[in-house]
Amino acid sequence: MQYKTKQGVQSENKALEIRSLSLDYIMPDQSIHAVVDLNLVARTGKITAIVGESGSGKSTVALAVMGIQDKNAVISNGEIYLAGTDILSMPKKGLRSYVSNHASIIFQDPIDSLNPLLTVGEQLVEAILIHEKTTKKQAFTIALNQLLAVSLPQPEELMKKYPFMLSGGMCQRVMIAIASVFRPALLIADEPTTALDVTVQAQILHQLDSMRKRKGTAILLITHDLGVVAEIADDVCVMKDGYIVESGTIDDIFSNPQHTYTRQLLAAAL
Amino acid sequence: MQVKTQAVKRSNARFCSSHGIINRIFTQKAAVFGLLIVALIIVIAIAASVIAPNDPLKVNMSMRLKGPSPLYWLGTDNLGRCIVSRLIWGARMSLIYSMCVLGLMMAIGIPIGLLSGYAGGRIDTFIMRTIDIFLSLPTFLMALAIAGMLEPSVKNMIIAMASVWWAPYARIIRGMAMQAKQQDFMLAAKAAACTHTQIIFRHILRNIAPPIIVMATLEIGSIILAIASFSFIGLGAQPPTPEWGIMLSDSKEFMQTQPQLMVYPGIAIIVTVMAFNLLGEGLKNAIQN
Amino acid sequence: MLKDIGERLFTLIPVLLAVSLITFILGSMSSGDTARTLAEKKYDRPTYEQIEEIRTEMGFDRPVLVQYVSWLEDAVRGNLGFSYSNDRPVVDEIVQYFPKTFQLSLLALLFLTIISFTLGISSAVFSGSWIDKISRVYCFWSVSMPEFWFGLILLYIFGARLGLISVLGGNSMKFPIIPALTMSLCSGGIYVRLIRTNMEEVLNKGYIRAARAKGVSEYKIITKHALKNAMLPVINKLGIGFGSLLAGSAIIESIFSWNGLGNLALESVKLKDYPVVQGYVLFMAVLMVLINLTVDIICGIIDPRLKNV
Repeated sequence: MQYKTKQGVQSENKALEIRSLSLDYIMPDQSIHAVVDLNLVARTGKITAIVGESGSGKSTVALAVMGIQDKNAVISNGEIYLAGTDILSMPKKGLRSYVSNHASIIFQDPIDSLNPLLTVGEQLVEAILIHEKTTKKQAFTIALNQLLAVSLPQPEELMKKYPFMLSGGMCQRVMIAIASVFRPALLIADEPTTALDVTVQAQILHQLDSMRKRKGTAILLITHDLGVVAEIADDVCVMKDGYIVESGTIDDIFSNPQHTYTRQLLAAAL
Repeated sequence: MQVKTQAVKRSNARFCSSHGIINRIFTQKAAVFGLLIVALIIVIAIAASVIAPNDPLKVNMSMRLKGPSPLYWLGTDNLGRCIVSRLIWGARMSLIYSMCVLGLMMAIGIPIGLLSGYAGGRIDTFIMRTIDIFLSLPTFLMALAIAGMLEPSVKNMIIAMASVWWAPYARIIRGMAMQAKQQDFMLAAKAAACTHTQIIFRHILRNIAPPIIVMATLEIGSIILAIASFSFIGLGAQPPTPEWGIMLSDSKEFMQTQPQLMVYPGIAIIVTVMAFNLLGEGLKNAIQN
Repeated sequence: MLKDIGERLFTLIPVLLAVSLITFILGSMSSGDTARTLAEKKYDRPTYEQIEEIRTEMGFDRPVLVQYVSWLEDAVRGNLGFSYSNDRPVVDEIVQYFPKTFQLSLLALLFLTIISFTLGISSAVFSGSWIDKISRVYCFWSVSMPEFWFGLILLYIFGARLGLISVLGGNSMKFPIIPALTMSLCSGGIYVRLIRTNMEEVLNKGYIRAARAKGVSEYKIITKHALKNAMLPVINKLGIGFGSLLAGSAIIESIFSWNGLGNLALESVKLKDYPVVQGYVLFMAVLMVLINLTVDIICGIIDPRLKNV
């Protein structure tokens, strides 16, 4: 089986490249163009932000990259190169294992993202065993270190706890710990701080940033919060109604916005 | 909080637009089919005395277990009674009995549910505990207790069924009453110094009437099924009443020689129950979307 | 945990009192008949005095509450009275007939679980496929089919036509497979629907999406992550369902002449053997209460969130 592989020097520092992606949601009586002709690059070791209001298609892009879009979502066009390989031309069977070996994702609602009936330890070890060929015992040790790496205190205790016993911020850290059990080329953070207290937001963002520095992961940050973007992003794409209306480095966008919508967003944020 | 009120408003708007509901039923083929059969059964039940070719109770020992003939379209049973006539009268019996159960259920469930939801507090807690007791006991057990300790008869069966089935009904009505209580028009009614009775009957009951009717339609199928079951085992209608469950019970003895006897009443029951269920499902879908 | 169970048992006492009181009052309402029935048994054609004599002897002339208290005292000691028809202790009758009913209901529960989980899960996972369509048709059939009619049809096919089971009764069956199948097929629809809805709901949850993103295989998603969560409310309903099977087995027992407790209760109703009916109802109520308790304990083991409540 041959996959379309994009050759060249450039692919080295592109963890993710999306080319003219179009995606529709098929409803019984209509279809909605959620993403239209979208182009996007997430560079290794950088933070790329997708900004836009809710319903603009940001999260749809994230799910499509992970190959876990809803059943009624149909990708009508485009290519998604993850770590150099177009995942859309891959057979379904190998897709999940390939994607999960190169990318991970954390979601908006951390408590909802953890299975309520499994302990933190069980869910963390499960992720480790998927990616590393180790015994359960070794996986347990790795898990402890992972929890320490996201500055969660008393990891041994924590491993035995159930998600409902933790705060939202702690759950999100566990999610980051799960997402970084291996060295993913890409980490998608879908509104990682929206559901959390303001005081916790900064800590979570710090965790993401340190993961980028430590492992050289490309981070795709999806948010509607321009304050967060200004703080840590390197590149920015502004999304509206399924289109990317403007993209560039953070300096370009913030100091010299071209599109009216970008200007409106900035004006509203300031 | 605001989101919640909006949701309540929306659901209320949904309940109120009964015209919309009726229109939506007619877009569902299965529901229309169910409605047509239900209508047919109701017509048969009402006109039973006109349609039935013979007297359903007339015993004719010289005509026992005969096959179909111009006078007896589906033949006769073990006592020479006309099967078609008994089936037709059976439709009337099933509908009358189920309406009695439904009426009694409503008569118990609606006031208790309304009271519980409207009063709240200790009364609510007490009523809910009682309802929980009823819900933890199987219907059949309570019905057997009542029908068995008193005399087995139609009257006792109806009482037994209603005395068990009001409970889940009351609980749902309580929920709706509590929802209705929180709406804006309730504040307005209170501000206008309406009495409790006025509020309950004029405002709450009127608002929750459409969903209650839908719930009732959904129940009819299972009520008819239960009535036939109880009559079949001798706890409900008593012979010689032309009732489908009794007809099936009579036919059991002749299973070896006259298996067709148990086919007709069974088909009558399943067709009726399916028709009501189709209609009920249609109503439910219409109210949900 | 033990303390919890103890507390739960304690709160269940009012339920049992209520049930016993209701059945007792109902029984006393018909005691006039009972005295006559008993007298007829004893004297063939009893005079008024003889009936009154029986009434006094049995204590039917005392106030209902007094009768109830003395009956309750006996009941607590494990004496539920004596059958009018064969003078045996009601408790002995129950002990003798219950195993048959339990066997039938347990088998039916097993079939019910297999049917509802297979159809429910597969129709949620392969929604829109042929198995989903089959399960929809089955659900509708199941809620509309009279159980006793289906039982009669199966009795006709397997008894009258194929001769595999006896039509006239007797305990020719070693295992009540066909009666149990009748019961489970006719009550499976609601559970299939319930499991399907729960499973669909759970499969749309964030943690399932997160597990997929983590690279967990679809098989493990369903068996490890989704099933446990979807099962919680189902276990509760299955507990009630088991209760209904136990209490509702009477119809099927009488059709297939399966000599269980339900059949005994129905016969006793016909013979106006009130102590047996009363004992049956009370015994079943206790059983329901115990089943509910067991279900609560099982849910508590599966769901860590319930432990702290």
